[in-house]
Amino acid sequence: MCEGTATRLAFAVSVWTVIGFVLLPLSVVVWLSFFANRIISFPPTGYTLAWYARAWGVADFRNGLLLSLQLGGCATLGSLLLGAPAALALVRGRFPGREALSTLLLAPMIVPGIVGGSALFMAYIEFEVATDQQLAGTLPGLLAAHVLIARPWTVRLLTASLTGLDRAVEEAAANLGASPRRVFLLVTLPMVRPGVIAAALFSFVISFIDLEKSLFLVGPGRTTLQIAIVNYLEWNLDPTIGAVATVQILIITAALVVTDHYAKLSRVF
Amino acid sequence: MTEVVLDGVSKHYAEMVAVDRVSLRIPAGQFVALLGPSGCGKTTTLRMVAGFVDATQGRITIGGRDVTQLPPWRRNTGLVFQNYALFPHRTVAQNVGFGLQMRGIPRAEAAARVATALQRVKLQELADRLPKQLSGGQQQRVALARALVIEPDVLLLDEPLSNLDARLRLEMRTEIRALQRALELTAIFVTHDQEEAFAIADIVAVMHRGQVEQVGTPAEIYETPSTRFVAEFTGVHNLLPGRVTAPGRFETTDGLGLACTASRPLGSLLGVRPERLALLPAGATADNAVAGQVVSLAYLGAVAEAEVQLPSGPRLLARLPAHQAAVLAMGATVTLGWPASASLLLEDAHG
Repeated sequence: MCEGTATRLAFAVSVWTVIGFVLLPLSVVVWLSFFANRIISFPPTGYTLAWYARAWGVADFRNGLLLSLQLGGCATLGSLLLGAPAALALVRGRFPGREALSTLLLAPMIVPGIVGGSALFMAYIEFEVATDQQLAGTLPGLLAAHVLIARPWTVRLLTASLTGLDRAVEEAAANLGASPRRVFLLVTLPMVRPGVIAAALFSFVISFIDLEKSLFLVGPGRTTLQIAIVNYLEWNLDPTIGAVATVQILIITAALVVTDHYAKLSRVF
Repeated sequence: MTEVVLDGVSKHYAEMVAVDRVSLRIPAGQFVALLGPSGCGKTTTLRMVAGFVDATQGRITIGGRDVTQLPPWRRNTGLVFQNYALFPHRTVAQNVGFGLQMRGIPRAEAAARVATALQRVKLQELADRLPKQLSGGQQQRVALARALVIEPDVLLLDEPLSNLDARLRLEMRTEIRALQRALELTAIFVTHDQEEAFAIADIVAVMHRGQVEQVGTPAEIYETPSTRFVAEFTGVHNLLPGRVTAPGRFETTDGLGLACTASRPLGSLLGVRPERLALLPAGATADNAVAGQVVSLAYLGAVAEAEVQLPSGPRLLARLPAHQAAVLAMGATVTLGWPASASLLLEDAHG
């Protein structure tokens, strides 16, 4: 009995330590975004909302946020359009090279961003040399890179929910007179909806927080929010960064909450 | 009412033959059970009728229409799955209405037909529930209503009772049988449970290694199994090898002379069901009487099972009324008797 209590206590302590370790930096960032002093120091001399106004006033942040949102949205769409058929083929198809294709599709997940970014950059340059078409530093080039890093998440999540799907349910629909197209639209799709929503969310977040790949591929006058933050940090360290970070945290939290409303995230993993 | 005919239907996979030239004629309105152990090809056969498995050879006709090449959604069969396979995101009424929706039945008519179907399976109060809010038995009723509401040419049941507990299984099988009779449906039922098959079906087809070994009424299968496999699968535990020496006489390889009916001239095995063996009191006679020693006793409630070792070698298993077996003791010498008509002559062609 006593041993059980001790074990449970140890478990609780380790769980809360980990949660604290995750939450502490986030809360500190949110906290210092309200500091009144220009040089970050503890304890704060007072609190203000001014840094939020100032952050919005910095054109790089404003444009960066808009570009990141646009990129995230487009990358999500592209990732779903390319990833969903791929996941379907991987789970349902029986063809030579299936395993290899699966590994290839998931590869961007395990290649370090900085390596993938430089590789893409060099590939774009080679492409430009060969075809005289510029890709590096253009919006299509940047978008392609974001689709590339988002797609493995779509493939992974959709593969998981398609694998767990009971084929008998689809057969029941076919037996009741549904053509394959109607089976897909009326039965398969609604059943994997949580997976699709989770895939969309992760695609968006992965694109939104990407720094390394984008670093190589942004062009003059076109920076994502993450790059704007790095650029700003090079010369400044004031609570503006805290304000920008807080806005980001809010956007991603909102995305998570909205997603969870439509598809219980805990059930996807 | 529709007749279903399987004509030399086979299914070959790369490495194996799952179904081997099955021919079966199911008269309109009849209930047929495909009975056999797992892997005997019964489910594959059913899935070929439904259209989910392409037949390698042969022809399947439903009501005279050749459906062999038709996809599942053009066959008008009603399939009930072992695991129910309900649409999890649709309510009970929407599940039942799915087939009507696919057929473009007008909304009002569909609603009325769904209501009737739900009433038939006594679920009208649960129309707005989701499948996950129902018990296993209720889910299977929804699946049944969903298959019946489309007025299928043939009702296909793939071990629909296997996931239910014993009491519910009895209740559901009576209900399925009553519905099939009332709607005069042709039905094919797949099961590995002999009692279930006998209780529900007009005709039983016993399958083994992809082939139909015997087709007949439950009584025919039980009284006159035609192969060793059918005999063993339906509970003939006692099999004695030997040969027929004269009409009505069988001599076992260990020298025992036994009486059997003269109607069957050949057989290399004589089988007796445990429940046909009786304890013979001293002085009583029977067509067949053999003495031996009780080597094991198992009390099962209504009956008891005793294993009796014969001096010539074989052991016989007898299923006796419990009150009779109560006087038996381990090691006691007893005489078992059975009438000639209980001796089943079989060929030893095993596979």
